[in-house]
Amino acid sequence: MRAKRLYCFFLCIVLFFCSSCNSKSRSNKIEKNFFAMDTAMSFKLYGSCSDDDLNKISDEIILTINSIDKEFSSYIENSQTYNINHRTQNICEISPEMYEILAKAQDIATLSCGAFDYTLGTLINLWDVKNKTVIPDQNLICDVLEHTGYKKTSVDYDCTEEKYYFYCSDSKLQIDLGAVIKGYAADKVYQICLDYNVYGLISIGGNITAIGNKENGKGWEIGIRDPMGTQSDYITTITLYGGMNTSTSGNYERFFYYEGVKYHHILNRLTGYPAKSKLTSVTVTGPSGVMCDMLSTACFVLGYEDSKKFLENYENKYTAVFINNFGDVMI
Amino acid sequence: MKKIKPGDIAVIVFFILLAVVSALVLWNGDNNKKTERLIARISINGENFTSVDLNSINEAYYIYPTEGVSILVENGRIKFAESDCKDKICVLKGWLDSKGDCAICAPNMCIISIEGGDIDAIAG
Amino acid sequence: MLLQDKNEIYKKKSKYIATVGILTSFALILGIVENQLPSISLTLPGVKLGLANIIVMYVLEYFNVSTALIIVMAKSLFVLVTRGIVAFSLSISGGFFATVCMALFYLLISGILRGRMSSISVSVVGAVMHNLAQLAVFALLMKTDVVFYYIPYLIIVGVIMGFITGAIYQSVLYMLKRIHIGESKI
Repeated sequence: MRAKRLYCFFLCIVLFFCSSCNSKSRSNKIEKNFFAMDTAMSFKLYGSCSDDDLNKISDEIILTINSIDKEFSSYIENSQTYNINHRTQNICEISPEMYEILAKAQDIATLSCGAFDYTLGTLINLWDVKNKTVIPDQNLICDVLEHTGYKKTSVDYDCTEEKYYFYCSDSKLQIDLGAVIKGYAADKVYQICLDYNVYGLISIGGNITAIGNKENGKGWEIGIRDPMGTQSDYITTITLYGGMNTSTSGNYERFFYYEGVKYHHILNRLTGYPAKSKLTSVTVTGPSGVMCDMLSTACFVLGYEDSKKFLENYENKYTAVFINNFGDVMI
Repeated sequence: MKKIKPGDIAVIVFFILLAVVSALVLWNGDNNKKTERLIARISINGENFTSVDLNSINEAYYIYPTEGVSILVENGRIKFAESDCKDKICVLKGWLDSKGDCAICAPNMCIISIEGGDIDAIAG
Repeated sequence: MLLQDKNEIYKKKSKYIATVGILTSFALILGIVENQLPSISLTLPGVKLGLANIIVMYVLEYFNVSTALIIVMAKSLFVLVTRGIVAFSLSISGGFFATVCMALFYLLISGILRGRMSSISVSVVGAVMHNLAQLAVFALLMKTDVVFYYIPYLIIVGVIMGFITGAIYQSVLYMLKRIHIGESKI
């Protein structure tokens, strides 16, 4: 009799818990396509929260990306980058976030011997690949090159005053964080998603971040765009697991033709001209978005052979897929 | 557990096998049917403008999501017909007719994308 | 003597009706109770625990098929009045088909395979058949054949729900027996 009663009791408890479970424990999904940082972005997020909450999270993500854009864009007045570029002394105080970005950028610029260089503001402004269709004068390029170079810059932290500083010995040097902020934004958005316990995939320009794995536990299948094809043609795929980022730098994103020659937006500091590395795109995969963003630019400029040596610095944490002028895929 | 007898297990196993067999038979044949649904999503400025079921189109028609852009919808395919943008990459893309296809007109902030496909995203 | 017999039958009949009435109301109550558990409707709408099957099984075992069908009909009429024609057709098709199958299965058990199976099998059979019949009717009503994709799920769900219902049946059997007053095999 007691056994029966105990059995019934437990059965009741089980049924009680069943009734308090919501049928909303199924994953809800939100998908958005939008424009920010001058490029198309999209994300697919899944979570066990309500559709309302997902909408709020989605708004917060878009807000965050836009505010990062405002903070670090060279063209927006009073952004941190703008202020550095309009500095009046060789020393600027900077925010902890800017320090974080510049320290990493300085590091990669040094290790890549300038293949990635965030100090090419003057050169980039001269070329203005997005708007212009004429190549700049050779002399102008030389003049402008004199005011570039990561060796003229450094960042520092003052422990006593607890402040961060940026040093530059050349008053005309301009920094440009275009090759950095998308990856940086990707990392910030990743953190937001983790905090809210949602999983999914975010595509920020050429940066893709995987938050958690797919519903079936597998990684996300990412197609690497065929440089010779259209926006949705892919030439090969990689699998992106939760916490991993991938970033692609290619010569097909922003370019113009002048007298039959293609000039793209990834400039080589040594020549002052767009990098001619026999590559059409490089895709770098790794744990940090901002690193992938910078590394993909560096590898594109370095070319295949030098990139392989360069990536040894990172001990397989960052891997790359290269596509050359003939459309061959190399790893 | 109360009174479970060997026959019960047999019955349960029988039904499980039945489920497996029916799954093999039904699910493989159904794959073709499932992949036929082509839904195109059109978004402007980040907001969903409309969705179109490309399989249910009888007569072709135009959609004008924003000034200067026209989208042509036909049975099983969709494309940017005209755009007032500079490069016209969106129009040059041509017809979108498979899952995962997409065309973007950046100056007009308009995106057509077809749901589904084996690829979750395209890098680059 | 004849008078006494008549009285017996009369008594039995009223007892019978009363008992059936009580059982029917139990079946309805069980149906209402299980609607309060929202976690079940993960697949198709209409997939439910089927607690009312407990009553049907009891009636099949201790009464007869026609009595079981009467209770199923009564329950379906209740559904017709409360939830509409669609729900009614699903309920009655699932209920009738499951009851008939369970009755046939009971014949099997008490005949050839005596002692080898318990009410758990009956319950599983009932649950699976109930789901399949409902699926067929749903497909007919909605004129779609996409739903047949769900057959494997429904079978598995039927096995699980049938198992749970059968276990519950065995636990509460002693309570049900108390309702039925004396033997009323008619």
